[in-house]
Amino acid sequence: MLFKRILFYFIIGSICLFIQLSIFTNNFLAIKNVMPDIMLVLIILLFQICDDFEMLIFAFITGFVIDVYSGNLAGLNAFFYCIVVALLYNFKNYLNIKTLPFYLFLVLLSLLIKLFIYYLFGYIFKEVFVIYKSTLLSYAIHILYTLFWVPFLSMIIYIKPIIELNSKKMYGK
Amino acid sequence: MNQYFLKNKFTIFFIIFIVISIISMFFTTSSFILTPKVIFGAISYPFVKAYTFVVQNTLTFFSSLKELNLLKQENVRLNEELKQLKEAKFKLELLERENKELKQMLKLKEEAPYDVLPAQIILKDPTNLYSVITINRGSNDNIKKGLAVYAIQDGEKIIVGKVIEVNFFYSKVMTVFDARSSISVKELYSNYSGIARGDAPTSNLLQVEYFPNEADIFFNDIFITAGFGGIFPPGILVGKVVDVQKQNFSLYQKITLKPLIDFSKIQYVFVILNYEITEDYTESSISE
Repeated sequence: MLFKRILFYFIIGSICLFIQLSIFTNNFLAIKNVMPDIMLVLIILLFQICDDFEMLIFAFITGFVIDVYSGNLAGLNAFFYCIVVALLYNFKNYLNIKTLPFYLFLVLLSLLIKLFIYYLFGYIFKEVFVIYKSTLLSYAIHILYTLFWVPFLSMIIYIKPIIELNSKKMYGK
Repeated sequence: MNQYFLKNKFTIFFIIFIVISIISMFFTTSSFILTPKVIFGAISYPFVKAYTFVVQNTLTFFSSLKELNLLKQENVRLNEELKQLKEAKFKLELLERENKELKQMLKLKEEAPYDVLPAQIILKDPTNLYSVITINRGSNDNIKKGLAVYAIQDGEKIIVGKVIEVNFFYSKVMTVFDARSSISVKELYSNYSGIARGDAPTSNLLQVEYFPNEADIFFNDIFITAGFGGIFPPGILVGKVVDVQKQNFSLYQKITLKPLIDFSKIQYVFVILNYEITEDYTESSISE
């Protein structure tokens, strides 16, 4: 079962990284050079059905891969995703509402935290601050575009085989 | 200790990951060569390379399939276009040929000293050596029995035959090949004349009778209509000599002509309307 879950994480992580990083696809998802944060949506949605600890590792690795291949500060996305998973973990008792508006709210909240983290580390590491000096307008597009992906990904993630694969969390606890 | 670790593994790993992330960010902005980013990049490079290989080849494969399908569709379309162009070219050639023929006919019609009526051949029977053909003009167009018919072939007037049957909308023309046909002919450059008779369906040649023995006739000499009978105007090409038999004890020599008319080439003929018809012309004897 563990092997199946690892395989599941690998496959779904690879697909999302493939889309997110646009290594081979020349930013086909980009609107005005703004890409959605698909991986964040995936982490938030998967957290509802997967094991917490596994999700922490998954978030760290995928975040680090994005950092390595996207030219960001190495560790920034990993840091951010770990923070998101930790917050979800600490407030999981209050996150039992499994509806689409609630997922949208979580993603929106996470994106605002991301903005704060980006500016915080931009301030700390002044040398590369200019990289994250995006306008609020483009970040607003980024937020909207990311939210746009939530319904689609939730339809893919919450299919029966995936829920059954991770049933340990759903029914075992 | 072990139990403590298991109980708090989430928190422990979270702290480890946060520390790694911050250290990594710190190293990114410093001048270290072996930063965590470089190390992680080096470790993950083979996987990314393999991933690139698989994904790119898969994408290329599907792209090729799509292109193949498009090429097939384009090939079908181009073939269809080529077929249509060939048909159009064929039609154009036919029209060009017809136009050329009609222009030639019009020119010769204007030059003719008698009124002629152009007609289209609507039926010709090659199995019977074209001894009778049908044209699309009848009594409605003032066609009468006995009228002479000629054609334009390679820019020359060539004798076809004469009308033997007239209906309202069409007429039948007995050609020079028919055994019943006889035309007064003469050699092009001399005044010697004779009577050329058809030989169909035995052969497609004409036998010239009553041609004086003293005339010197050679192979490929041309014979034209003599115009004695009153049906055919003089000067229309009939045929060329293919055989000459001089007879010592006869006044006449036997000459065989090959008619110049080629029905496989012509589509239109001219009916001579107002050339004087001899009074001794009868239906039973349709010879000139």
